[in-house]
Amino acid sequence: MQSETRVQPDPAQADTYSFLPVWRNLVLQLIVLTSVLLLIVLAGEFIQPRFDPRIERALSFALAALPLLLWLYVSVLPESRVARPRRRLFGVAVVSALTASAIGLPLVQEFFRVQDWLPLQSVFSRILGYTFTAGFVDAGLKFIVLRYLIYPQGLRVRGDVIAYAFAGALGYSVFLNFAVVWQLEPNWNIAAIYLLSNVTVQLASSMFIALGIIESYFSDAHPLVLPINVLVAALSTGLITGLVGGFLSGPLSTAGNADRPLFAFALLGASLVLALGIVYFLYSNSERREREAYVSRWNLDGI
Amino acid sequence: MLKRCFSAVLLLFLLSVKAWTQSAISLDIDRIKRATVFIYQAESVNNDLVIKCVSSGTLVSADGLIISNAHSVLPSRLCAGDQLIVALNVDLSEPPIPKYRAEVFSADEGLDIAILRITRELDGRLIARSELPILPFAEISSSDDVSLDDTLIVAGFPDFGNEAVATTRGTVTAVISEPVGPRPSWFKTRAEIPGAMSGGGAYSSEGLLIGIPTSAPLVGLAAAASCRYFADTNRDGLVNASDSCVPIGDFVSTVRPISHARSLIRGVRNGLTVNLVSGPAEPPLPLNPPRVSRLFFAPSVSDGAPSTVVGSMPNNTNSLFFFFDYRNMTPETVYELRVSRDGIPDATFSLPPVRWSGRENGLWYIGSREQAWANGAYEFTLLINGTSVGSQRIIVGGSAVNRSQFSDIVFGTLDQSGALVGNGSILPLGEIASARFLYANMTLDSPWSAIWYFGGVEVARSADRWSDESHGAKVIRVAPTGGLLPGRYRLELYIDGALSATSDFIVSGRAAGPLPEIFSRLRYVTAESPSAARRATALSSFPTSIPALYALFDWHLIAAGTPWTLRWLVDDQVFFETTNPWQTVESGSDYTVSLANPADGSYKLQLLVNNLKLIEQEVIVGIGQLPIDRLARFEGAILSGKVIDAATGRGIPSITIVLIGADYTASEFDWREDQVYDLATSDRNGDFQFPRPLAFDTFYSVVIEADGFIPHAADEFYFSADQPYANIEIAMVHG
Amino acid sequence: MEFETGRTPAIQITPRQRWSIAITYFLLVAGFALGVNQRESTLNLASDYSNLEAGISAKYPARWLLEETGSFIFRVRDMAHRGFNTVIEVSAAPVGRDTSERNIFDLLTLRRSQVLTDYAVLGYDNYLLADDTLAVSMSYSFVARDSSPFLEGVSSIVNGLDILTIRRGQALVVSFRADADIYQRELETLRWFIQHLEF
Repeated sequence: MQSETRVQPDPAQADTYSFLPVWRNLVLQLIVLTSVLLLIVLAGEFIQPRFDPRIERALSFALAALPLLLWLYVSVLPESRVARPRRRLFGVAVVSALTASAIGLPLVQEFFRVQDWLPLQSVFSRILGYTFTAGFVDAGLKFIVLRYLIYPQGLRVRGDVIAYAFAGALGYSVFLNFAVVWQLEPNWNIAAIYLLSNVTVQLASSMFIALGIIESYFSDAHPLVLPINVLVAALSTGLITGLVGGFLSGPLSTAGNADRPLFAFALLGASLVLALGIVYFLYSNSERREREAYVSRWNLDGI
Repeated sequence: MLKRCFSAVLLLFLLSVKAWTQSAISLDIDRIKRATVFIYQAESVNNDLVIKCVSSGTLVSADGLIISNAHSVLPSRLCAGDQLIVALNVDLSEPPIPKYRAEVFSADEGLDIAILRITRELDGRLIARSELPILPFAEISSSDDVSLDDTLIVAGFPDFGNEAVATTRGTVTAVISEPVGPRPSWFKTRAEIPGAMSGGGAYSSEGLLIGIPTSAPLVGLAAAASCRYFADTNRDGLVNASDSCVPIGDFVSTVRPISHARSLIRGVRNGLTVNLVSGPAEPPLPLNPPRVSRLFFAPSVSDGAPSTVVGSMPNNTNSLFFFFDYRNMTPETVYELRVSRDGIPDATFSLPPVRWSGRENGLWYIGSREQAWANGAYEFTLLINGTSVGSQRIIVGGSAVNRSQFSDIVFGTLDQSGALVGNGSILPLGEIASARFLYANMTLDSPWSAIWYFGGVEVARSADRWSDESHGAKVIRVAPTGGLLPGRYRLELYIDGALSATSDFIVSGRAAGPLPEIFSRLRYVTAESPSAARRATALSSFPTSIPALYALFDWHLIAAGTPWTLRWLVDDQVFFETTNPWQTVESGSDYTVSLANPADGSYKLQLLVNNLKLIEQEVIVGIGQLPIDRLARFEGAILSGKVIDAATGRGIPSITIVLIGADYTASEFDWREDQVYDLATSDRNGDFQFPRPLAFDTFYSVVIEADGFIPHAADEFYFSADQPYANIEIAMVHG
Repeated sequence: MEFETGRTPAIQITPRQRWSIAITYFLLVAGFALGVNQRESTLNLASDYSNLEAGISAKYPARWLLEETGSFIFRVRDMAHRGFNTVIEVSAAPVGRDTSERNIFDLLTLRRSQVLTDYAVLGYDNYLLADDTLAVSMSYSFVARDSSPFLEGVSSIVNGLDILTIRRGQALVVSFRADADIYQRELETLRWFIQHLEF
């Protein structure tokens, strides 16, 4: 049964928001996060500060937790101050993290064992391989979490989907962050790349899933729109994961080679901007179309 | 102003030349150090290994041939071990690490040279030659061109395994000759070479191996200061003088030229084992102690004999030889010559303790040519096994004195015209032996005499007053009762009762032209056994892969004890040479020598007496040429490095790096062995090194594929001759 | 005036949304299956080997290094594996009329005990070949170490399996060796190899 469409008051007119503005918070967090990580990468490249391994490890773990802390501060805590808070944000993040821990990572690492065979393939094969393994596993799990925790009972406005998808991406990626820091023990400047990679991959994927849900739920779009968005989400995972290794790995010559964190950072940054830009564009489009439809209906009713 | 500019340019030029030279040499030294090994000789005692002797050594082939001193690796009274353990330089700045076991494949105790081959892992497992990794080795050069003041770089281990491989630089301060082997017999140097570096390598300034630093610890004096006690070998809870110690000689100042080892190396390298089938068992060692006698000096040597005998030498003397007769010597005998000038030890012409490289009995000399002898009163003191056995003095200085002298004795027989014919030192059996000698500054009526010896016993003597001119040549002869018997003869010529000239000759064989026929019917056969060989048909060529090549010959009238030489050559290069006293009947047939599993090549056997080649015969096996050893030369760039995890910066173990040959690029590589030039695997620290050097100015490709990491594929791995070492870091990124 | 469009959360979703979700689930399952398929097809990429002289043809995993010089007919090694490179080696030896499989295994044991550290035979068994004939197998273990003396090589415990069959007067031995940690998993590769081996 179709629910009733309502008009929400302009948040600017209220003392407190009715809904916390999701895009602004999301962009704010990403700017802070990428700035911090960029600083660390630049420091690693040009100053090469070296600390005691234990301190470096602690720093890496702190970095792994940084997206979570930022999110808690910028997205979760302010929810208590708005009129209509999104109460399941934390739950979505936690369940996503648990899903990553219990199903996602074991499937990718133990069942598919992608680390054993995919890195050796060509770039094209790597992209396809990561799409059909990690891409579909991650996208599927995050979709299932959203489907069963917030879809449709937690969805009031389009921003809810974005906020919950972001929570899911964050929970998922923060677990992967801890896993990568725990398993690889990377130097903190390289950890910054891996963390940004996880956040970018999961966020891009979640945003496309969110777009699918938005179109499906709010616009009652064609039944293929959601699966296509999930497919794009998986493909984005495949693309970014498949490319980032090659960008990070410098070409070999008689002088040896070195990693290229700045190249990888640029790729991830561009991916992040591109994915968010596409999703925001389509999101805005969808929102605008519905608003225009509502206004035209209102005008008709008014006449 | 112009002068200043010129000086500045000259200074810059000199500095640049110096820098270039230093860098070139430092590169060579790295290569030298890598090829240097430390050798433990150990004895198995109750499942334990007790170290008996130590020495340095040098890898001379990629497949694990090592050259070292024989005295420290062959089992002996002093070094009673039965196991040889080879320690390699894993890290050039660290002491060596025991890695392999080796066996002595060929040795000459007297020359104090042993050729070892790595045959087992340290735990005793066998290693097939094909399984042994390609090892760094020193390239052997000719030592014949080394002359005074040439640079010597000596590599070895200065201490008992506690220090890293070291090099010492010096110059050749003297070139010493002795009667055995190729000339010269020794290089002397004043470089500080610790005793443990004995057996290592002496290199030219180009980094080529030209000699082996050699010194011998004294037998019977093992408990001296040069012997180290470091383990509780008798398990009494104490490490003291009642334990067995490891002898380490004093500082080394002598280098055995590598030319003495070439034939040994060549034989082992080609797997050629010569067996003197007809040769008797090892002769018993002499029971009596070594003795020397008749110490005298000569200004020059001709065919092993002194040209004349002198008691003093004039100003500007640059050639002097110290002669003596010796008896009861063995390869374990350690002899030493101490030379002092005006009572002050003269290190240049002294010979430190070294092994005896001659036979049991004979005439020996130690001397040098083309080397200035400062004026003074020299005293030569000879020591055997640490004990002085004789000394002789000579004055060098003053103007040349035209004293009466005989010189340059040669032996032969007189033809019908009265001319002396023969080769100078070997005569066939007959009735009369003649000797021709030169004389100078003789005065009429001065007494002179000639004494002939056979086997050390006087057989004829003539004494007379000089009635000829003052300068000229004279022929004298001897006709012993019963004719000339096979054996060794000697003639001594005296003027006024003082020895003036002396020389030895051998009587052997039948008269047949200028050279007596001592050996005949030299032929080759192949057969299953020596007895079958004597019945087999002789051939001049044989197919590949015959089990053994037998050489047979007949011999005529050789007295027991006559020194004779058997020399094998392959492709005109000597790979086996031995000089022994004849130890079988005087005449006979089918003396048999075998060569097991000969590789393809042109072989030649030569038989010599008194360094005169009496007979030789060539035979072809297979294609008549030795197989080409693709690793014979150690030239190219050494590519090593470290594989690191880009995430952690730490080394990654067990990553295989594939180096693709020059004919393929990385994209053309389809994982076939024939496309692979070499493989390297990183160790637990991520370090790797390609065992095979990369040819200079050649394009290689590299492929690295490792589970979990983004692969690398790169072409144009190219190194020029000015980059003999490349150390690269490869960062692997997790995929 | 800015405003957001929204709705009260639905209790039920529309059939179109239900279809959408169902198709998404189907897509996820299909994607997963494709992932499995891609993994299998990548891991089972094969190269062909044939040796007319020895009368042997085989398929072996792509990107394994093929070697034909040595005391074997051919050998393939997984150079990408870190640790002991998994190896499959095919060799042949002439046999006499009285030679039994066990005789050959004993000879192999004697030879290997001279060159392999801690070589130990673990047991004998039967092995069913692709053509349903029965071969015999011998499992063993030893310790392998990178042979370069100048590096601090890493030792690995290696498990091995020899599969032996005697045909046409010669013994054909397929020797399989892998790091003990991955031996069981790598046995799949051996089975696959044996299935494609013709001699």
